[in-house]
Amino acid sequence: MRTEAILLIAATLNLAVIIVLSLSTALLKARRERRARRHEEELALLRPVMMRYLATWEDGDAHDLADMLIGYRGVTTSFEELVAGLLPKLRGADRSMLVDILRRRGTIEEARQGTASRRPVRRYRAVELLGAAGVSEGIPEAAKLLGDRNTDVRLAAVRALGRIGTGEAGAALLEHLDSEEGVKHPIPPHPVTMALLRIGTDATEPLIRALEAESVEVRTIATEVLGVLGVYPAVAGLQTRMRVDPSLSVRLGATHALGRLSMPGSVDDLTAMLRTEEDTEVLAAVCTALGRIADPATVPELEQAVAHPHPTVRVAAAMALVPFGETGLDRLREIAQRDAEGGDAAREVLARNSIATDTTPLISL
Amino acid sequence: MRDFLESAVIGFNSFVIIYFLALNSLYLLIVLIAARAQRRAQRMSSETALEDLFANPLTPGVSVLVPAYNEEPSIVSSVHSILDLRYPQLEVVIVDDGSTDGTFDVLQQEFELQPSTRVAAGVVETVGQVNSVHISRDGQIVVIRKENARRRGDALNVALEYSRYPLVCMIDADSVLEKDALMHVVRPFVDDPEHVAATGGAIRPINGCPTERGMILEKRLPKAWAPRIQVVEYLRSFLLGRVGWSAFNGLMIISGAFGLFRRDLVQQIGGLTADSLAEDADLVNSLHHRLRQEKQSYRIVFVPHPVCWTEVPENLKILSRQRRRWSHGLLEVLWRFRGMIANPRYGRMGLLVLPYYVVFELLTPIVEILGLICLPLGIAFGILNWQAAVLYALVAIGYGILLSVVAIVVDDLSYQTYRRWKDLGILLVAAFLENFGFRQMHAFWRLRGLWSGIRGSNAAWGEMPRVGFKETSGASAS
Repeated sequence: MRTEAILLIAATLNLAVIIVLSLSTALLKARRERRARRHEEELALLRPVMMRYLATWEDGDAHDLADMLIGYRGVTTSFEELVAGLLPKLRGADRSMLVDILRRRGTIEEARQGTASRRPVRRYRAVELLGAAGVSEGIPEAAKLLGDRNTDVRLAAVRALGRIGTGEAGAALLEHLDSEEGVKHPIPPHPVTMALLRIGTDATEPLIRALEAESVEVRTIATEVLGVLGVYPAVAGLQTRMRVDPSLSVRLGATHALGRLSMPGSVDDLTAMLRTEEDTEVLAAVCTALGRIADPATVPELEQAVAHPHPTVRVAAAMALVPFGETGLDRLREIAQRDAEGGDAAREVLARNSIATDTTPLISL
Repeated sequence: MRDFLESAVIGFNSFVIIYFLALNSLYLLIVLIAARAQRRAQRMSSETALEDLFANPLTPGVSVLVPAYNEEPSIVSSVHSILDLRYPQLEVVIVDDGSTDGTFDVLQQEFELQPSTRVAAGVVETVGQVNSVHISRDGQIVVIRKENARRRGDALNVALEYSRYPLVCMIDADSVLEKDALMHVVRPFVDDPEHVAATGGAIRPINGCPTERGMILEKRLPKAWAPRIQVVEYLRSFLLGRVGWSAFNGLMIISGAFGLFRRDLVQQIGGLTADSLAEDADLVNSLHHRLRQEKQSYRIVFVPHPVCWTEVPENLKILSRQRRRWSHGLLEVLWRFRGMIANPRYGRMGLLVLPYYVVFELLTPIVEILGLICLPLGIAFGILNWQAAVLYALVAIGYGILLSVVAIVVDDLSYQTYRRWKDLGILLVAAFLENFGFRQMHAFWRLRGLWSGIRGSNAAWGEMPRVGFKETSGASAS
């Protein structure tokens, strides 16, 4: 009897919770729909004013419209959503006008203060807004959050600095990474690389300095970014890194970068690497770099590399022969006849090349 | 004798009720942890992060591997949906695994494929012989025709051999991915490339959703109850359950319908186990096994954002075959990695996750079926009174329903995938109906799967007849 009573209570309780949960979901859904309707109404009010403001920036009306936008106080969420949607699409004067409105509404200041909030979600949103607005006054706050205890916040700070996009932001990123050995909450290198690429050539100076950094990670990032950005003044530094750096990833990054920069002055260093380097990944990168430079004197070296025991190097070397035009393709055709010594890689590259360049229509009209 | 029988029946029924209370409580805990993680992930979601990922030249390329066996009705839509994905650098590697229908013909016609002499990397062993390789003019689609080895794992290994990007995404040929799906699952690799070994995306049933060229036009629930119940199942176990385990870094399964892996790691473990029936779970466990043995710090992450839509069986016969295969596959995987179970060397995988799967996943059908037999027997022999029996059943079933309702509520609060009021009502009804007939049949199918696993039956990768997506343009396949 006692067991039955317990079971009855449990079953009733269960049923009650199910009913309460179902009803609350329905209530929340109704509330959400009501909010969405109100939000749409607010957007319908704000959007045309915003568009007129952005379209009439040279007119005297702009001031009145700006005042009007600043005056809408009860629509913060809708306003911020509208701005967040517009900011990435705008450049130049339009963007500055929008940021100006945010400043005058106090949104930027609030975001700067929000970066010190105890709630991670608030810090996250604040730094995202600073990044989206691209305001340089947000750099110290964003840089501070690079060491935040919450991973998402740290990553948002990295992205924000990339979006702010000044040399100062780039230097803050690299300096933080260089100084964080042994820290409890490190930032992963790849997002930093992406942020630096977004900053672009404005970050040239700190990047060239970073080639001499203590941290292997920072040197690797610097080589990669300098190569992708095509920073020619960095060639000497990159050649040194490729030759003497004790870290494999730095040597690899420098080799990739020199290939991207395609400087004929790097040929001697690269061919020397082809003879001495043992790591297959670096060797493949050297082949790719030589292919990009396409100095005819390097054809025999690449031909030898097509017979390398490792398939990655074989294919990279075979692909590197393609940019040499007919000379390279002739060599590949010859190698393709062989059963061993790179015949497979040559055949694959020739096949890929024929597909990529064949423009004959499939059906003759 | 009667006393003994009475004690045995009462004892066993108490065990069953405690077992299901423990199982559901544990699951409820996982779901609540998942709800918290999901809420936080949603509040910290970032469109700018995806934009940066898309615009960046260093974003890693992805090879999407698609094993296809008799997928004529849906393969073209699937490939279109992959090509339309927002991702800067990707290729699609399709393995036509000895299809007997027009899978290859429709692909050739749609994408103007040309014969190619592309060679395999030669790193992973494969079984079925490759007959030919075909490539589209832009090089973005590679189709490999091979002999059927009756194993999906072998088809994926072949695709792996012909892929070239550092990340490989394994999907089902009937999967439809959301526009930003790849960006969502690649993001953990970009944010933490040194540690993330694999990511899995959330899966939802596509049945009932109108599509056009592999894009979902409207998210709707299926028309029939069997797939509707599967929607609830997917919400409960595939979505929330996996988010919960992921929070512990204890994800044991990344669904074969949509998973992303570092190619070098998959190659290091020798690719997928070709003869496994649960090659997806086997692959994830092989990664755990290897990385734990090497004492590496790694993460296997589940991305809760709903990203992949897949066709689920509408017909009970096909569904039973699928569930038997899953159960058989689970047994195979747990047996293969038995050395990890309760072994402290494998950390929480060995001490928590795998024991959970043995006690609460593998053995559940046995306990459930025995419970179903004992309850009426107890009543028939007068050992249990029927009121007590009904109450036992009500508590066990009610807790199961509660769990499903929590999953539906969490999903509705987080993603609002199904916008219509009617759909919310249908899901709640499906959560209720699941427990009357479906759940018992499911337990029986799983038990049969377990039995065939114990007997070592050579169960093959079964064919699942596709109905094709509900194309609004009128191009729907039969």
